[in-house]
Amino acid sequence: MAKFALGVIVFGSVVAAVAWAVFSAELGAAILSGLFAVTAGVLIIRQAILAERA
Amino acid sequence: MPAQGITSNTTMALVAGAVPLLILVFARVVQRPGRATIEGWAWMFGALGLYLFVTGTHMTLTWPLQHVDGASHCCAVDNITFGEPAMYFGALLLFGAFALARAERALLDRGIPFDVVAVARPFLYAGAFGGLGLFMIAVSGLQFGMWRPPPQEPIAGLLAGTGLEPIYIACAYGFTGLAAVTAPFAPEGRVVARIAAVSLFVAGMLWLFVALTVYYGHIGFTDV
Repeated sequence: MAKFALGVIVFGSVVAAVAWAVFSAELGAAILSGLFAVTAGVLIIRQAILAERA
Repeated sequence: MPAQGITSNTTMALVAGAVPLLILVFARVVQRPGRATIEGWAWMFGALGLYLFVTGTHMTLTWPLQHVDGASHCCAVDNITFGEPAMYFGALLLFGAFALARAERALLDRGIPFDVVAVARPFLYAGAFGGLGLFMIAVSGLQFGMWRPPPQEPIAGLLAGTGLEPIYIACAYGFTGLAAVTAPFAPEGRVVARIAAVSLFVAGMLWLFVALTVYYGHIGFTDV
């Protein structure tokens, strides 16, 4: 799941950069915000699962 | 001074998103047999509670957010809908965290098993009353046309006129309220526990996303 989160960050950053350049800075920033939120969510789920297993 | 006043709710929203998500992890951690001390968790929640309590109290008593011309119900009313819950839940979080740290140390020193639920439950009951208030904020916000961003605010302005932001913010309040109302009853009921856990996660994600967007939006919105 950590690799998945890393993949989300890399892919999302590219999409945000493209959106920033092609469409608007606001759209790029919105995508970047969503990317960070989704990554945090994935890592929270991961930590919760790890805490239960340990 | 920017037109909307002192827009101090940026990091408040971030804390409002972080707390439910961290409570979710904490709830898992405390169930682990033979777990280590929770004192670090307690102090961390105390720090976040202090942040919400101080900023929420300032917002509640001084109304730093001002009305913005051209925007419906923005932003003076946010002093009520954001400041008061932040103050209330911040106080509960702050004192609940102290109670957890103090109780764990006192009970373990006497060789008595530490029951996290017994210590936290009074605070959860008080939080449930706050949850009812959050439901009413969600309903009244939709009824009276809150959370319609001014077109000049970056990111939020993209949604101006679509009606999506009022629904989004109402959902954030609603899920936070649902988590607060169900949390005291979660230890005894599997279904209630799942509802509380899902509500905590959804509420945390909704607040976290909006907080990240307003870091960009509020900086761009501030015309000092």
